Amino acid sequence: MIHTDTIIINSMLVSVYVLTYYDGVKEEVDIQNNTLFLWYDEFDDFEIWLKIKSNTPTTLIDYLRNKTGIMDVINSSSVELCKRSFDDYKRFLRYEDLDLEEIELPENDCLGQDFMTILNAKQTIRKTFVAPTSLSPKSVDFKQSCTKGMLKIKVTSSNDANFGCSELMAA
Amino acid sequence: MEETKTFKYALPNGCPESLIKAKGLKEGEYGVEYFRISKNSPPNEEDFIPLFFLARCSNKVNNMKKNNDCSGLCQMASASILKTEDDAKRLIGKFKKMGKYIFCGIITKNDGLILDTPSNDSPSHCSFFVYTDVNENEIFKQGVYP
Repeated sequence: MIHTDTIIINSMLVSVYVLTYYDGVKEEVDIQNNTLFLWYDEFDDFEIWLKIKSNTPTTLIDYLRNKTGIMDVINSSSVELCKRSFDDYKRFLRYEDLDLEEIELPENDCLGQDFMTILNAKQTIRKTFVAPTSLSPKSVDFKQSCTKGMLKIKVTSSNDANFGCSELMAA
Repeated sequence: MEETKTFKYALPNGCPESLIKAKGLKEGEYGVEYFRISKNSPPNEEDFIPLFFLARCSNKVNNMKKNNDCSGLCQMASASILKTEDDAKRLIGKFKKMGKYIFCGIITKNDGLILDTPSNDSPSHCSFFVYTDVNENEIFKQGVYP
Protein backbone atom coordinates (compact mmCIF):
# COMPACT_ATOMS: atom_id res chain seq x y z
CA MET A 1 0.00 0.00 0.00
CA ILE A 2 1.37 3.46 -0.91
CA HIS A 3 0.49 6.26 1.47
CA THR A 4 0.39 9.88 0.41
CA ASP A 5 0.24 13.13 2.31
CA THR A 6 0.29 16.85 1.62
CA ILE A 7 2.65 19.29 3.28
CA ILE A 8 3.25 23.03 2.92
CA ILE A 9 6.71 24.26 1.93
CA ASN A 10 7.24 27.99 1.32
CA SER A 11 3.44 28.45 1.22
CA MET A 12 3.18 25.84 -1.54
CA LEU A 13 1.12 22.68 -1.10
CA VAL A 14 3.29 19.68 -1.98
CA SER A 15 2.23 16.05 -2.43
CA VAL A 16 4.51 13.52 -0.83
CA TYR A 17 4.72 9.74 -0.59
CA VAL A 18 5.13 8.36 2.91
CA LEU A 19 8.08 5.95 2.86
CA THR A 20 8.27 5.16 6.57
CA TYR A 21 6.07 5.52 9.61
CA TYR A 22 6.43 4.26 13.13
CA ASP A 23 4.21 5.97 15.70
CA GLY A 24 4.73 9.65 14.75
CA VAL A 25 8.10 9.12 13.17
CA LYS A 26 8.02 9.44 9.39
CA GLU A 27 10.03 9.72 6.22
CA GLU A 28 8.40 11.32 3.19
CA VAL A 29 9.53 12.02 -0.37
CA ASP A 30 8.55 14.66 -2.91
CA ILE A 31 9.81 13.00 -6.09
CA GLN A 32 8.92 15.93 -8.34
CA ASN A 33 11.20 18.28 -6.40
CA ASN A 34 13.86 15.65 -5.55
CA THR A 35 13.34 16.23 -1.84
CA LEU A 36 13.33 13.83 1.07
CA PHE A 37 11.83 14.77 4.45
CA LEU A 38 13.11 12.95 7.50
CA TRP A 39 11.76 13.22 11.06
CA TYR A 40 14.59 14.12 13.41
CA ASP A 41 13.32 14.93 16.91
CA GLU A 42 10.22 15.90 18.87
CA PHE A 43 9.45 18.38 21.63
CA ASP A 44 6.26 19.36 23.47
CA ASP A 45 4.89 21.62 20.70
CA PHE A 46 6.77 20.72 17.57
CA GLU A 47 8.97 18.31 15.66
CA ILE A 48 12.24 18.94 13.87
CA TRP A 49 12.65 17.48 10.39
CA LEU A 50 15.50 17.33 7.91
CA LYS A 51 14.67 18.68 4.47
CA ILE A 52 17.08 16.95 2.08
CA LYS A 53 17.02 18.42 -1.42
CA SER A 54 19.07 16.20 -3.68
CA ASN A 55 21.46 17.98 -6.04
CA THR A 56 21.82 14.78 -8.04
CA PRO A 57 18.32 13.38 -8.61
CA THR A 58 19.74 10.02 -9.71
CA THR A 59 21.11 9.48 -6.18
CA LEU A 60 17.66 10.02 -4.70
CA ILE A 61 16.09 7.68 -7.27
CA ASP A 62 18.80 5.09 -6.49
CA TYR A 63 17.86 5.41 -2.80
CA LEU A 64 14.19 4.92 -3.66
CA ARG A 65 15.22 1.89 -5.73
CA ASN A 66 16.97 0.47 -2.65
CA LYS A 67 20.36 0.69 -4.39
CA THR A 68 22.11 3.26 -2.22
CA GLY A 69 22.08 4.42 1.40
CA ILE A 70 20.45 7.52 2.86
CA MET A 71 23.81 9.10 3.74
CA ASP A 72 24.76 8.96 0.04
CA VAL A 73 21.67 11.09 -0.61
CA ILE A 74 22.45 13.45 2.27
CA ASN A 75 26.07 13.90 1.17
CA SER A 76 24.96 14.97 -2.29
CA SER A 77 22.16 17.24 -1.11
CA SER A 78 21.37 20.64 0.34
CA VAL A 79 20.14 19.91 3.85
CA GLU A 80 18.22 22.24 6.13
CA LEU A 81 16.36 21.85 9.40
CA CYS A 82 12.63 22.47 9.48
CA LYS A 83 10.14 22.94 12.29
CA ARG A 84 6.77 21.20 12.11
CA SER A 85 4.44 22.59 14.75
CA PHE A 86 1.69 20.34 16.17
CA ASP A 87 -0.92 23.08 15.79
CA ASP A 88 -0.11 23.59 12.08
CA TYR A 89 1.25 20.19 11.25
CA LYS A 90 1.22 20.41 7.46
CA ARG A 91 3.53 23.44 7.41
CA PHE A 92 7.32 23.09 7.33
CA LEU A 93 9.16 26.22 8.50
CA ARG A 94 12.88 26.81 8.54
CA TYR A 95 14.35 26.03 11.99
CA GLU A 96 17.43 27.93 13.03
CA ASP A 97 17.77 27.15 16.75
CA LEU A 98 19.85 24.08 16.01
CA ASP A 99 22.96 23.88 13.88
CA LEU A 100 23.27 21.16 11.25
CA GLU A 101 26.72 20.40 12.66
CA GLU A 102 25.14 19.44 15.99
CA ILE A 103 22.74 16.81 14.74
CA GLU A 104 23.17 13.05 14.71
CA LEU A 105 22.94 11.88 11.13
CA PRO A 106 21.48 8.48 10.17
CA GLU A 107 23.39 5.33 9.37
CA ASN A 108 23.93 4.77 5.66
CA ASP A 109 21.15 2.18 5.38
CA CYS A 110 19.18 1.48 2.22
CA LEU A 111 15.42 1.97 2.14
CA GLY A 112 14.64 -1.73 2.55
CA GLN A 113 12.38 -2.08 -0.49
CA ASP A 114 12.37 -0.91 -4.11
CA PHE A 115 9.80 1.87 -3.73
CA MET A 116 10.00 3.00 -7.39
CA THR A 117 8.99 -0.43 -8.67
CA ILE A 118 6.10 -0.54 -6.19
CA LEU A 119 5.04 2.97 -7.26
CA ASN A 120 5.29 2.20 -10.98
CA ALA A 121 3.27 -0.98 -10.54
CA LYS A 122 0.64 0.95 -8.62
CA GLN A 123 0.45 3.65 -11.31
CA THR A 124 0.13 1.03 -14.05
CA ILE A 125 -2.80 -0.48 -12.21
CA ARG A 126 -4.36 2.97 -11.82
CA LYS A 127 -3.95 3.71 -15.55
CA THR A 128 -5.66 0.41 -16.34
CA PHE A 129 -8.64 1.53 -14.31
CA VAL A 130 -8.85 5.12 -15.62
CA ALA A 131 -11.45 4.27 -18.25
CA PRO A 132 -14.03 2.69 -15.91
CA THR A 133 -13.43 5.46 -13.35
CA SER A 134 -14.11 8.13 -15.95
CA LEU A 135 -17.37 6.48 -16.90
CA SER A 136 -18.88 7.33 -13.53
CA PRO A 137 -17.82 10.94 -13.02
CA LYS A 138 -18.80 13.14 -10.12
CA SER A 139 -19.21 16.10 -12.43
CA VAL A 140 -18.80 16.76 -16.10
CA ASP A 141 -18.23 20.25 -17.54
CA PHE A 142 -18.76 20.85 -21.20
CA LYS A 143 -17.19 23.88 -22.88
CA GLN A 144 -18.16 24.19 -26.50
CA SER A 145 -16.69 26.53 -29.07
CA CYS A 146 -18.91 26.69 -32.12
CA THR A 147 -16.57 28.83 -34.12
CA LYS A 148 -13.63 26.44 -33.81
CA GLY A 149 -15.68 23.28 -33.72
CA MET A 150 -13.96 22.22 -30.48
CA LEU A 151 -15.51 20.38 -27.59
CA LYS A 152 -13.60 20.34 -24.31
CA ILE A 153 -14.76 17.88 -21.70
CA LYS A 154 -13.44 18.04 -18.17
CA VAL A 155 -14.19 14.93 -16.15
CA THR A 156 -13.75 14.95 -12.40
CA SER A 157 -13.97 11.67 -10.58
CA SER A 158 -14.59 11.30 -6.86
CA ASN A 159 -12.76 7.99 -6.61
CA ASP A 160 -9.20 9.18 -6.20
CA ALA A 161 -8.01 12.66 -5.33
CA ASN A 162 -4.62 12.17 -6.96
CA PHE A 163 -5.65 10.60 -10.20
CA GLY A 164 -9.29 11.55 -10.47
CA CYS A 165 -9.07 14.38 -12.98
CA SER A 166 -8.50 13.98 -16.66
CA GLU A 167 -9.19 16.26 -19.58
CA LEU A 168 -10.28 15.09 -22.97
CA MET A 169 -10.12 17.23 -26.07
CA ALA A 170 -12.39 16.29 -28.89
CA ALA A 171 -12.36 18.06 -32.22
CA MET B 1 -19.20 -18.24 26.03
CA GLU B 2 -16.43 -16.00 24.65
CA GLU B 3 -15.40 -13.10 26.85
CA THR B 4 -15.84 -9.66 25.28
CA LYS B 5 -12.59 -7.73 25.33
CA THR B 6 -12.40 -3.98 25.73
CA PHE B 7 -9.56 -1.76 24.62
CA LYS B 8 -7.30 -0.15 27.19
CA TYR B 9 -7.58 3.31 25.64
CA ALA B 10 -10.80 5.06 24.65
CA LEU B 11 -10.42 4.78 20.90
CA PRO B 12 -11.79 7.41 18.50
CA ASN B 13 -15.32 6.83 17.19
CA GLY B 14 -15.55 3.89 14.81
CA CYS B 15 -11.97 2.78 15.52
CA PRO B 16 -10.55 0.24 14.75
CA GLU B 17 -13.29 -0.68 12.27
CA SER B 18 -12.81 2.63 10.37
CA LEU B 19 -9.13 1.89 9.81
CA ILE B 20 -9.75 -1.71 8.75
CA LYS B 21 -12.44 -0.66 6.29
CA ALA B 22 -10.70 2.44 4.89
CA LYS B 23 -7.43 0.67 4.18
CA GLY B 24 -8.64 -2.87 3.63
CA LEU B 25 -6.42 -4.10 6.45
CA LYS B 26 -6.03 -7.64 7.69
CA GLU B 27 -5.36 -8.87 11.20
CA GLY B 28 -1.78 -9.75 12.03
CA GLU B 29 -0.56 -13.07 13.30
CA TYR B 30 -0.97 -13.97 16.99
CA GLY B 31 1.27 -16.09 19.19
CA VAL B 32 4.41 -14.90 17.40
CA GLU B 33 7.23 -12.53 18.32
CA TYR B 34 6.96 -8.79 17.70
CA PHE B 35 9.49 -5.99 18.22
CA ARG B 36 8.98 -2.57 19.81
CA ILE B 37 11.41 0.37 19.84
CA SER B 38 11.68 2.06 23.21
CA LYS B 39 13.29 5.19 24.67
CA ASN B 40 13.76 3.55 28.05
CA SER B 41 15.39 0.33 29.15
CA PRO B 42 13.52 -1.51 30.51
CA PRO B 43 10.51 0.09 28.80
CA ASN B 44 7.99 1.83 31.03
CA GLU B 45 4.29 2.55 30.54
CA GLU B 46 5.05 5.83 28.72
CA ASP B 47 6.90 3.94 26.02
CA PHE B 48 3.62 2.40 24.88
CA ILE B 49 1.13 5.29 25.03
CA PRO B 50 -0.21 5.87 21.51
CA LEU B 51 0.24 9.39 20.10
CA PHE B 52 -3.51 10.02 20.08
CA PHE B 53 -3.51 10.08 23.89
CA LEU B 54 -0.46 12.30 24.41
CA ALA B 55 -1.20 15.88 25.48
CA ARG B 56 1.47 17.26 23.15
CA CYS B 57 -0.36 15.82 20.14
CA SER B 58 -3.76 17.34 21.02
CA ASN B 59 -3.51 20.08 18.38
CA LYS B 60 -2.51 17.57 15.74
CA VAL B 61 -5.44 15.36 16.80
CA ASN B 62 -7.86 18.31 16.69
CA ASN B 63 -6.71 19.24 13.18
CA MET B 64 -7.22 15.66 12.03
CA LYS B 65 -10.69 15.67 13.61
CA LYS B 66 -11.51 18.87 11.70
CA ASN B 67 -10.41 17.15 8.49
CA ASN B 68 -12.48 14.09 9.40
CA ASP B 69 -9.39 11.87 9.01
CA CYS B 70 -10.92 8.90 10.83
CA SER B 71 -8.42 6.30 9.64
CA GLY B 72 -5.46 8.57 10.48
CA LEU B 73 -6.82 9.19 13.98
CA CYS B 74 -7.37 5.49 14.47
CA GLN B 75 -3.83 4.68 13.42
CA MET B 76 -2.59 7.28 15.93
CA ALA B 77 -4.52 5.45 18.65
CA SER B 78 -2.41 2.32 18.18
CA ALA B 79 1.18 1.47 19.06
CA SER B 80 3.56 0.55 16.24
CA ILE B 81 5.18 -2.87 16.42
CA LEU B 82 7.37 -4.75 13.95
CA LYS B 83 7.63 -8.37 12.88
CA THR B 84 11.39 -8.31 12.31
CA GLU B 85 14.37 -7.15 14.30
CA ASP B 86 16.02 -5.97 11.05
CA ASP B 87 13.23 -3.46 10.41
CA ALA B 88 13.55 -2.19 13.98
CA LYS B 89 17.33 -1.80 13.63
CA ARG B 90 16.96 0.04 10.32
CA LEU B 91 14.51 2.48 11.94
CA ILE B 92 16.71 3.30 14.93
CA GLY B 93 19.66 3.69 12.56
CA LYS B 94 17.71 6.18 10.48
CA PHE B 95 15.93 8.09 13.27
CA LYS B 96 18.54 8.61 15.97
CA LYS B 97 16.16 10.33 18.41
CA MET B 98 13.25 7.90 18.29
CA GLY B 99 14.62 5.46 20.85
CA LYS B 100 17.74 3.36 21.14
CA TYR B 101 16.37 0.10 22.52
CA ILE B 102 14.58 -2.83 20.92
CA PHE B 103 12.46 -5.19 22.99
CA CYS B 104 10.53 -8.21 21.82
CA GLY B 105 7.66 -10.32 23.06
CA ILE B 106 4.90 -12.67 21.96
CA ILE B 107 1.44 -11.14 21.50
CA THR B 108 -1.56 -13.41 21.87
CA LYS B 109 -5.22 -12.87 20.99
CA ASN B 110 -5.84 -12.12 24.68
CA ASP B 111 -3.46 -9.14 24.59
CA GLY B 112 -5.07 -7.03 21.90
CA LEU B 113 -5.81 -6.53 18.23
CA ILE B 114 -2.97 -6.55 15.70
CA LEU B 115 -3.45 -5.05 12.24
CA ASP B 116 -1.00 -5.50 9.38
CA THR B 117 -0.05 -1.94 8.37
CA PRO B 118 3.18 -2.20 6.33
CA SER B 119 5.15 0.81 5.13
CA ASN B 120 7.78 0.82 2.41
CA ASP B 121 10.70 1.15 4.78
CA SER B 122 9.30 -1.28 7.32
CA PRO B 123 7.20 -3.87 5.51
CA SER B 124 6.73 -5.72 8.80
CA HIS B 125 5.00 -2.75 10.48
CA CYS B 126 1.83 -3.61 12.46
CA SER B 127 -0.52 -1.57 14.62
CA PHE B 128 -1.30 -2.88 18.12
CA PHE B 129 -4.51 -1.97 19.97
CA VAL B 130 -4.00 -3.26 23.48
CA TYR B 131 -6.82 -4.63 25.65
CA THR B 132 -7.69 -3.46 29.15
CA ASP B 133 -5.64 -4.96 31.99
CA VAL B 134 -2.80 -5.89 29.64
CA ASN B 135 0.55 -4.51 30.64
CA GLU B 136 2.59 -3.90 27.47
CA ASN B 137 5.90 -3.84 29.30
CA GLU B 138 5.12 -7.34 30.57
CA ILE B 139 4.87 -8.44 26.92
CA PHE B 140 7.92 -6.58 25.63
CA LYS B 141 10.34 -7.48 28.36
CA GLN B 142 13.06 -9.27 26.42
CA GLY B 143 15.76 -6.83 25.34
CA VAL B 144 17.29 -7.64 21.96
CA TYR B 145 19.26 -4.48 21.12
CA PRO B 146 21.77 -3.08 21.90
